[in-house]
Amino acid sequence: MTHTNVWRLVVVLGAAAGPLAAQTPDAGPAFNGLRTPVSPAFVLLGIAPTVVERPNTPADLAFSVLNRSAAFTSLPRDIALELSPYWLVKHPTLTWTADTVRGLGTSLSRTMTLSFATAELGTSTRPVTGLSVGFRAAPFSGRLSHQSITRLHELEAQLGNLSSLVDSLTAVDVARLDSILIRERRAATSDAERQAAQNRHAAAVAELTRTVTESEAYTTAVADMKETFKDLALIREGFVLEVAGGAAMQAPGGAADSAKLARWGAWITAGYEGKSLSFVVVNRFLASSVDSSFDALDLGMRLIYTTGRYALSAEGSFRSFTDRGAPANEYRFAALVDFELQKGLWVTGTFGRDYSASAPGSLLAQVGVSMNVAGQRIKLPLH
Amino acid sequence: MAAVIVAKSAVYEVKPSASVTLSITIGDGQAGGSVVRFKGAKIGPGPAIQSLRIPQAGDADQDLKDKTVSCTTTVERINSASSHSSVTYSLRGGGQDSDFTFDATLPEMGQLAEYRTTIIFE
Repeated sequence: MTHTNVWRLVVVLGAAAGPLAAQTPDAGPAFNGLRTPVSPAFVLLGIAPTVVERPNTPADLAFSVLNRSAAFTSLPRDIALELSPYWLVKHPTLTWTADTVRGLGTSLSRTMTLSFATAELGTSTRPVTGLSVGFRAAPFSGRLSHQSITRLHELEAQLGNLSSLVDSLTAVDVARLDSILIRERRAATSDAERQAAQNRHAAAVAELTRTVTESEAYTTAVADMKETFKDLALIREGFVLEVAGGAAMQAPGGAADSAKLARWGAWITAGYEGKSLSFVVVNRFLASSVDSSFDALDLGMRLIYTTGRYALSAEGSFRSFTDRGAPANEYRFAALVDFELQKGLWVTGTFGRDYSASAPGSLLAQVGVSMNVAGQRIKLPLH
Repeated sequence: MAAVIVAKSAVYEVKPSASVTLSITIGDGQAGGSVVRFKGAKIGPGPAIQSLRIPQAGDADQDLKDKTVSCTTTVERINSASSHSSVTYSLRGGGQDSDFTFDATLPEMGQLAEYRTTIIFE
C-alpha cells in the first residue's frame, strides 16, 4: 500500500469515527484516574487547590502552620500543604549518583510525602469545615535510566566549564585578595581580627563573582548550557510501587467536637517499564460514611508493547461497589494501537467498551491521526 | 533567575612540608562541577574531585603553610524534591581530617549557585 493510499484510508476512517470519537472518553484518562494521586488529601476533600504550600525547611513548615492556624488558636482555613519529611532537612553527603538506585528504606524515606488540606465545604448559612490528611510513598522507585545518568554527567562537565570560566575571569583579583588575606591574618593579634579579615575577603570575592555572573561571557555560557539541556528529564525505570492513603473529616460549624470521618481511600500502583514491554497495575478503594452507595474497589491493568514504529496496548479495569444494594459490578476494557506513518505522525486506534455497556456511547471505537514531534509517543504513566 | 553566590573561607592546619588531599562533594542530590586553583594554576578541573593532592607531586615547594587554594564550584538544582544545595570540601593529611560544608537555597529548578571557597593553610 502506498503512502497516498494509507492517507486516504486514514482520512476515511477518521471521518467515519468522528461522531463516536466525540462521544466516547479517551481510554487513557479513565485508567489514569485510578492511579495513586500526588496529594491524596486534596482528592479526598474534592479540591484542586491552585496554590499548594510546600515548605522546604522545618522553619518554613512551622511558619506555615503558625500563620494559618493563628498561632494554634483555630483550625487552619483553606490550606493546602504538602511536604516531604526527608527533604525538609539537608543532606550534604547525598550525591545524585548515590540516589540512582534505592533500597526499600531509602526509597520509602525519599519518596514519602504528607498532604494536609482544609476547605469550607458548606454554605454561608450552614458552614462545614472539611479537613483531610494523606500520605504517599514508593517502596520501590526504580532506578535512574542510563540515558539520564549520561546526560547528568554531561551536565556536570558543562558546570565544571562554567566554574572554570568564573575562576579564569577572577583569578588575578582573587590572587591579590588572597595575598591581602594572608598578610592581614599574620598581622592580626586575635581570633576576632583574623575572622574579620576572612569576612572582608569573602565579601570582596562575592562581589567579584557577582560582577562576573552579570557579564556577557557568563550569561552567554549559561544560556548555551540551558539550551543544550532544555530537554533534560530524570527518568526512573524498572519496577515501581506506589502506595497512598488518606482520610477526610467534616466539622459542621468548624466545631472540633462535631468533626466526624467522612471519606477515606487507599491506592496502590505498581508498574514495570522495560525496553519493549511495560505494565502498570492500579488498585483504588474509596469509601464514604456520608453516602456509602458509591463505596467502590477499582482494579485495573495496562500492558504496553512498543517496538520501532508501532505500539500495542491493552487495558482493563474492574469496579465493585461494596455497599449492600449497590449497582452491579462493572468492567471496562480497551485495546489501543499506535502506528507511526512517518516521523512524528501517528495513526491511533482505540477499541473496546466502557463501564456501562448499555449506555449510549459506551462502545469505544476511535481512529485518528496525531502529531508528536517533541519526543516519545508511548510512555508508561508511572512518573 | 540570578545565580546564588556563596563566598567563604576556612582554615586548615597542615604539617610542615607535607601534602594534603582535597575532595569535593556536591550534596542534596544536586549536580555540579568544580575547578581548583593553587599558586596561580588550575590543578583540578572536573565534575568529580576526589583526593586531589595539594601540592602536586612534581611541585618543588611542598610546604603549604601560609598558602591558599581557591575552589570554584557551580551547582545546578536538578532535584525537584529539595531546594537545598550544599558543597563539602574534605581535607585530609593535615593536623586532623576536616570537612567544611557550605550551603545555599535554590528555590527554582535549574537555578545555579556559585560557591567560591578559599582554604587557608596554616
